Amino acid sequence: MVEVNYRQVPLAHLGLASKIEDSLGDAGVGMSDRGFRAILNLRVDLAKQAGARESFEKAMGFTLPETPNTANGKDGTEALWLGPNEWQVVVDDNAPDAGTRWLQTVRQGMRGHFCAVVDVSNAQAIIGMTGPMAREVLERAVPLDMHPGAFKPGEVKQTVFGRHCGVIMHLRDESPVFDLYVRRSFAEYVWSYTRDCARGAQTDTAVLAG
Amino acid sequence: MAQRYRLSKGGRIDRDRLIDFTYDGRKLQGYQGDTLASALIANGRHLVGRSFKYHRPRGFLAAGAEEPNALMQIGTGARTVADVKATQVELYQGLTASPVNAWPSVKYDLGAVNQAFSKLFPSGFYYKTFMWPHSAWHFYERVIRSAAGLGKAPDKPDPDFYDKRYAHADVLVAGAGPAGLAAALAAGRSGARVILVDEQPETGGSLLASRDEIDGKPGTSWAEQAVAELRAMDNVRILTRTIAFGYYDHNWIALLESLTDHLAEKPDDVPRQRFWKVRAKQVVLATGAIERPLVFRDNDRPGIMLANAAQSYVNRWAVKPGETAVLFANNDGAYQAALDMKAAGIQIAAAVDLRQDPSGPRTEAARAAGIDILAGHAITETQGGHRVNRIKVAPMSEDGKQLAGSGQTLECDLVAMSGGWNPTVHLHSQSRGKLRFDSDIASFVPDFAVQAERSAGACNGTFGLAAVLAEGETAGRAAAEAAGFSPAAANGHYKAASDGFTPARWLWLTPSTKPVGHGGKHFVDFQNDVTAADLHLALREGYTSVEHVKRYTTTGMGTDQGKTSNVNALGIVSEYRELPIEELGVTTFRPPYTPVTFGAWGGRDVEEFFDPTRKTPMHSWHERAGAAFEDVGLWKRPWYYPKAGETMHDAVQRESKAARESLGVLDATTLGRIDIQGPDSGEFLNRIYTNGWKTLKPGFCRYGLMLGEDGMVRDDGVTACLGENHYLMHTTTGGAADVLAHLEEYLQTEWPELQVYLTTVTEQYATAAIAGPNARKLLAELTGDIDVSPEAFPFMTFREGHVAGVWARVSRISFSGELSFEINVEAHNGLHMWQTIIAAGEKYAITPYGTETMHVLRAEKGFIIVGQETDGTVTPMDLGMEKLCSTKKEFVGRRSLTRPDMLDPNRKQLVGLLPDNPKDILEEGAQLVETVRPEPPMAMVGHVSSSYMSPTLGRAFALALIKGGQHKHGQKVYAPMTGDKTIACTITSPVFFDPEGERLRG
Repeated sequence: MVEVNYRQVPLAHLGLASKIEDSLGDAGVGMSDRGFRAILNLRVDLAKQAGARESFEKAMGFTLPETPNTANGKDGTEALWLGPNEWQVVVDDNAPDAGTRWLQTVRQGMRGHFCAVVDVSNAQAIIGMTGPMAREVLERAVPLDMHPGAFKPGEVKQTVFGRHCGVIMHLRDESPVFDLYVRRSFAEYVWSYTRDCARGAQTDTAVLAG
Repeated sequence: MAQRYRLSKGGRIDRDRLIDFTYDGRKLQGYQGDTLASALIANGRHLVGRSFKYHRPRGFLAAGAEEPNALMQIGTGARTVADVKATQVELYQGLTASPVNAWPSVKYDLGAVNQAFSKLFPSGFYYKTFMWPHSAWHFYERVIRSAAGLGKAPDKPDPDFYDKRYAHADVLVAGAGPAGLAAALAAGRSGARVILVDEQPETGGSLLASRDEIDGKPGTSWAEQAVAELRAMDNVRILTRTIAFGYYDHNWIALLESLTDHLAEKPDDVPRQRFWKVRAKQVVLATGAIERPLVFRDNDRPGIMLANAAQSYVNRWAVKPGETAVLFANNDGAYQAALDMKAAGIQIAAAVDLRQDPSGPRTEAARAAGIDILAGHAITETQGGHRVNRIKVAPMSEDGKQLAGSGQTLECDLVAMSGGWNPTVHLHSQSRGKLRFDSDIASFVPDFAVQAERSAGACNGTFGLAAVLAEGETAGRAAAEAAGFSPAAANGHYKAASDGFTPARWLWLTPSTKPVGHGGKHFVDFQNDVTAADLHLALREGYTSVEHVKRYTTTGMGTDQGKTSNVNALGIVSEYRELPIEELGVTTFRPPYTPVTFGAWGGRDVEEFFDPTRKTPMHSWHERAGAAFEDVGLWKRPWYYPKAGETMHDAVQRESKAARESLGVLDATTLGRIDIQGPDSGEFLNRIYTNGWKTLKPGFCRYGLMLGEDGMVRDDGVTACLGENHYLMHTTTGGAADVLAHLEEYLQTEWPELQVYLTTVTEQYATAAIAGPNARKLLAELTGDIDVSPEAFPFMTFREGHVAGVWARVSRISFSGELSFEINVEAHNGLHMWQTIIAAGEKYAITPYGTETMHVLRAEKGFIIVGQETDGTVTPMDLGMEKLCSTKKEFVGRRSLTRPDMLDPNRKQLVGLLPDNPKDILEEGAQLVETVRPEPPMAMVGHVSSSYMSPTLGRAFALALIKGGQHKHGQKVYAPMTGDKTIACTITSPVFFDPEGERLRG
């Protein structure tokens, strides 16, 4: 059966596409709907499962980051460290069957090890944040230290966002560019809450292309 | 004459910016830089309020946050604020203010009649008088509250918004006076991230009100230079108009920043206030000290104020708090106030000094300046209606306990008093830091810190500018070092005067011509009208602990929280009990240091953000369809879909009927889902659920019941076996997070040997449950690769394939009792699936139904809802589900099920109820009795847990939990309702519809 892409990403109903600006302009924060990526949750104890490190590397072409709160990846594919035996694997692949396909790839690769690989592509929304006031605005929603010296490029942190628990923040570069992985059903809350935080920081937000 | 008491020069005010304001209905003027207090004094207004209990005329006692008297209602309409201290209000164009505790006006206050009866209002008066008859307290309370009313809350919604934010710092410095600035400079220069906060609009602290010099220049210039250097540092953030009001665990400091309160025009795009939650590695407290009043007879008349307040009004705001002043002091430092007042042209009638032999550098300077010093004297009486105009002074005996000789009368309109200084130890104490009594200054100073904080300057009991600066510098460096920085060596010392405020003499209670309590009032707590006699009374009545004294007399309570009264009260208690102060202890300091608005506490988590709302992928469709929503957990679930003109009852009847007769569809996305994998998954489920799981084969589903360790039903749901060692558990919507935590807890703490991983996948899927006789036909049309025939797809199995062109897992399970399929697709495809179902179902008149219809349908079948039929006290046996409890294995909660109480045949058990009148819908929660009496009490035998009108049964019905109910089928129970109505019902089986389950299995 040929699969057609019927996907409605979690923020689709906000009609953000028509609000996209070319640049930040006067806005202190740029926000974007990053759209769909294949996302897998991987649970495996690398210390106990001999050869699991190598199995993953063989399947995906890069190693799992073992330094807490960091990411590692290659060519649009990355793994975010979430815990001593937990990673989030993210693949920039928007095909209709991307989640299932990558699930099979990693599951096959990890075969023989006690582990769990679960497709969570649809369970999350990915929101991008950038701009000179991005850290200042995020400091209103998350209790973590957002100072450039405390949250460095390449780091991944999990925290509470407003009243939504379990947001994953990945700082991609120091400009800064953040990817926020939020639970699907909380996506609109996080989006509107951020805009209210910007108001509190006396700045504006602009919608940017994902 | 406008601003008659304004000095011709000096002060930190902008004389080019005249400001009009209204006070108590009168139009007055002040300058930019004034506080409401200084502007009122510039206009000769000293009578600014009536006291709380006796309605005595009151004036300004202080110039800062410690002010107990000058409580104002500021502004009008939606923005009006009650009980603000005039000393903390910055003057702005158009400001309106009025005293809060006077009616009809502050000059002719009717409540002042209380003074005449003051003998009738001793401490503990309310407790003693208004407790009888007990039931009348509600009436008394209303009258008392109104008589003692402190201001009015706005009666319109708050037009402002409030910002709330987190911040992190290496070093937080609270207070930007000399110690705080020196600390911030030392820490800032080391590269540490510093946050420096001060409640005032400008930094400088005590320097703003003094003529002291630092490094050979005015202290204010030094402060300006220090701030300029700090502002140039990227790593330093300076927050003015910001008060550090709370010190919580783990160096968590709460700040309140005011952004628009001082502005005449409130901008739309600026929050009124900002609430800061700061996590600091190290804290330097440089919060200064508060001067102590002297406790003497009638020490509360307008015009009697703290010496430092008088000095501040003169130096900082260039206003004359009086023409002729008397200094009343027990220490050397206070003479600086007299010198500054004299320099400003105020006549000093005399300095009344409690010390027998006044000495010290400032005393000497005063003497040299020609100020008449009355050594060993006390003020024994004060006079004046709305303002002090005359005082009597007399020499004291050597021990200061009584008067020795006749006195004299002095004319004056200002008494500047000083009883020494109390270090502002509030934040240190809030942080659980300990205090010790320092007999040199007769006050409490920080002893040791519990958290990462240090005090510097006056708040640490250090007085004398040179020592304060040095201590600030040292504290800033030490804090930076402790936070991991290496401050450079200090380059020299700050040069400044080194004298503190001693020598001093400590007399807690000043003698008068009559004994305490027998003429005039010796006020200790001005805001709460607590006198020395009240304290003595409390002690006589046996309230000897300071905490009891506080609560019985209310000393130290109110909006000023005893900033000027606490130590004096302790001193008086100590003297009366003949116990050293250090053995009495102090009352607890609690946040907030000053009042904080509710708006700031709420921040942005109000209205739409009060709670996050979770929405399913089909939410936009439900909205377009006009659904009414119900909150389930944080989820918005369609409750029912009213058509034009339909009531909720109509809609639910229509939806229920459609599902039973043709086809209904429910958004079941919100159910919790947990992916369970690993070689021990089956064993894990076997231990978690009451029933057996080892026989469940891939492709099959099973209903499971989960208990707590106490044997009570905790959650239920269907779990599917997806493959070998791979399961998908469904939980209730509201229980998803708790169940996951419950499972993880057992996995991590009880059975770490089990190889199982749990992953939440609640959000990965969207689910539509299609239910009704036409469900199979519809599904057949929507799928090409799933054989939907009853033989190929039996009840309690699932199939994977495609529905509506997308991957789907279809489970043949039923919560409605109908032939039903739950179609699960990837969440992003949920809306597409839903719309496809609706379009294809049109020929069957497909009817979307909400949670209310779902409840009706399941209740007709006797299916429970955890949290509705259960409340944490219900066992599987109570629900008639004993067959689900395996006897062949262990499971969580099993042991509890054999406790004698669990086997009691008279436990509340699940039953059905049919009201005798088929139209009577019982109220959920209604109590049930077997024998009706004219009025309560009646023996209650149970309660209604669910109740609905069923279109299918054509009558009302209910589920209930009734004592021994399983053996009472056919018996009558009654639900006595309000208004004399009693609903009679018959107990039945809880299954009302299709008891054999032919429909759902068909």
